[in-house]
Amino acid sequence: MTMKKISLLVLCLFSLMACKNDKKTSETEQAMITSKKPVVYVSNYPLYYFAERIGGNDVDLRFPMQDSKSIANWQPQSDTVVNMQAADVVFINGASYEKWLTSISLPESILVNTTKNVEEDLLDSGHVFTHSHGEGGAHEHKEMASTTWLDLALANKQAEAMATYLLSKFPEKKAVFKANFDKLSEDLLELDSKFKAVANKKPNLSVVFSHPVYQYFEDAYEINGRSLHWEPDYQLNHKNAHEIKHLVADKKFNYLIWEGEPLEETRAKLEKMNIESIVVNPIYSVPENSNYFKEMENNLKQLQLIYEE
Amino acid sequence: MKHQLFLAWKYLQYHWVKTTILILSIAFILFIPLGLNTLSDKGSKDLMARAKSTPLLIGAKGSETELALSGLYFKSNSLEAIPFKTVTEISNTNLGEVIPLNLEYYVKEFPIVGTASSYFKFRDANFKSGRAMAILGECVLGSKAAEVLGIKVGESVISSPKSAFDVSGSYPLKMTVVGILNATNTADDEAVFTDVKTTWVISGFAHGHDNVTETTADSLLLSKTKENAIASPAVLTYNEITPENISSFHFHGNPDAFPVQAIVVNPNSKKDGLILRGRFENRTDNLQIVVPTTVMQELLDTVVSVKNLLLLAAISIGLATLVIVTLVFSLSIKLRSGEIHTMKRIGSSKSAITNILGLEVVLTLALSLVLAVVLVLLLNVFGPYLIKIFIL
Repeated sequence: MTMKKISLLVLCLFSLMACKNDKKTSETEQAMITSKKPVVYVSNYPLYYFAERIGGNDVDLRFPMQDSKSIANWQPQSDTVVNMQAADVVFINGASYEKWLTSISLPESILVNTTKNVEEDLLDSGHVFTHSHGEGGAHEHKEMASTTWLDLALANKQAEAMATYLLSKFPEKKAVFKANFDKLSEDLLELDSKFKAVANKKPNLSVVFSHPVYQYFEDAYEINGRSLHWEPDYQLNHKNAHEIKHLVADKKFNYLIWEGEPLEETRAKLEKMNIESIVVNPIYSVPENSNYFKEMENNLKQLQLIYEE
Repeated sequence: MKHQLFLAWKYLQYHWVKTTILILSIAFILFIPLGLNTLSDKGSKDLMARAKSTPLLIGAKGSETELALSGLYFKSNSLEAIPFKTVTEISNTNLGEVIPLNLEYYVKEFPIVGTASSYFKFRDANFKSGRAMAILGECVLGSKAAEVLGIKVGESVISSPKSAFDVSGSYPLKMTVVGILNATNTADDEAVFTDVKTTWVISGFAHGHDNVTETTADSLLLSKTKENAIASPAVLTYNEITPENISSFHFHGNPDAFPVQAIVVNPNSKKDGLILRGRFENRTDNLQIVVPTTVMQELLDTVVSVKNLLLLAAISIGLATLVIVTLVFSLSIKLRSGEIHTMKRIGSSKSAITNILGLEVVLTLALSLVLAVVLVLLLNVFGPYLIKIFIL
């Protein structure tokens, strides 16, 4: 074989390899382009619902704490944080909700606090504890109430903050995101007005909440209430019964609003004391066969039981 | 000619002291302007490359040069801190990516850079091993820092106190190394990167300890009510952040007021950069924004002025040396009249003698030139190190 022939052969081989590589590259690029959806992380279920409604199939929505038993006390693993760092945006609730945020490393540029623009409307949780090291400089650990999504007007503003960010960052999907948000906003505000109308029917009615998680709900719909620190699985013992008797004498109430379905035994005992138990779901976690909006509609029905009786 | 070269070489070898002095003198005279030029070019290139990759820097009002050098090379011994809320404020403008830099602490001689994980993407830095910091107390080492400290991923480094007299200030914190960067031949190679919140733990703005309401012994509590507990200073804070104690870490004070020394801003576009700079023009607070390329160009212009002066001096000295060298050779010929006479008497032609003397000069000059080139090449290699020592 002459030198010329060998050279030609080598040239042909190189050309074939180059063609193969080009094809491979273009296939990879194509895959990247087609699968390139904005990666959106959310920190609680209501935000997940809003993001799903606004983004639809045009966002890669991730809710890493979805399977956590206690979303509020969730602590991320480093792998999760690394994935979050690569996200296009991490929507957080704010209002002291994300306690894990102090112990992880996330760039400020991808964090969007959905209650940032409504800071003046945020409420104290009523839970303040201070400690100091030595006599000087007590450090106050003041917490805001977190369940902002139970006030549908605030929830709408949170959804608006999410939509505004997505619209500005991904203008190519502006039409879809805007239309989706407008529909969501309409639904939220309509339900909000229904809540307001219900609570207005008995402005002097007092209720008791089983747990202090309804601050925004009470404030938005002008519900006169007082909070206990009871869990739905609590047995109504002598001490609890004594506590509730004192409250009845003081506040004259007939309704106890629970976070979840109370024990049947507790419900029966309370009924004997002329106190009816109803459930208003604070929607911390993903509801089974339901969603945020349906749960809020259920909450409205529960309120109607009291106020339209 | 071969024999003449042999004789010239032997003469230089025999008078090695004189030859060495001549070679060194000529070599240094050649080296000074060449070396200055090389050092200046190399320095300018490196400084401008780093500056060009850092569009804007924000810091406290004061020396622009100090802010630029601190932001680019992590030297901040006297740079005034600005509050973290500036980072949030600029981030909320959506004019660009905002990266904080806290530059207060060291691990031995390597600066700790309290920043965000987005810094690595911004600098296009790749990981030799491991990943970016994700959890409080994790850190990433630059390639040289890892090499000198002899640390691998999974091992730990401890922050050093600010100074030997800093007995009540910063807390030495044991940080877990989770990543090591590839070498980039920049200041990043010698840095220890961690999240800005971890540097606040070192400062004492954030810390973790036993729950003072539940697990702390009564002997360590000065007083305790339902709303407040005063713990004795003897309650120890953790000096390492672990999965077991991480939930006990909390901030004391408002994080918006916690310190950063500089903020890198990578604007979305040239227009956004100009808008941001315009906004800073009208600010009356203690903040300034600088364009590192402009600042470094000004610094380099000063260096070039000094270089030109030095070049002028070197050329003057060079001319003087040339005259002296000429004098040395002519005096040498005079002193060697006996030797030249002997060469003539044993049959050497006039041209052969001229060739021998000429070759001696040529050999001396050639050796000087070789030495000067070697020195310039060495400077090319060690130049960045010298710039770091003498300029940065």
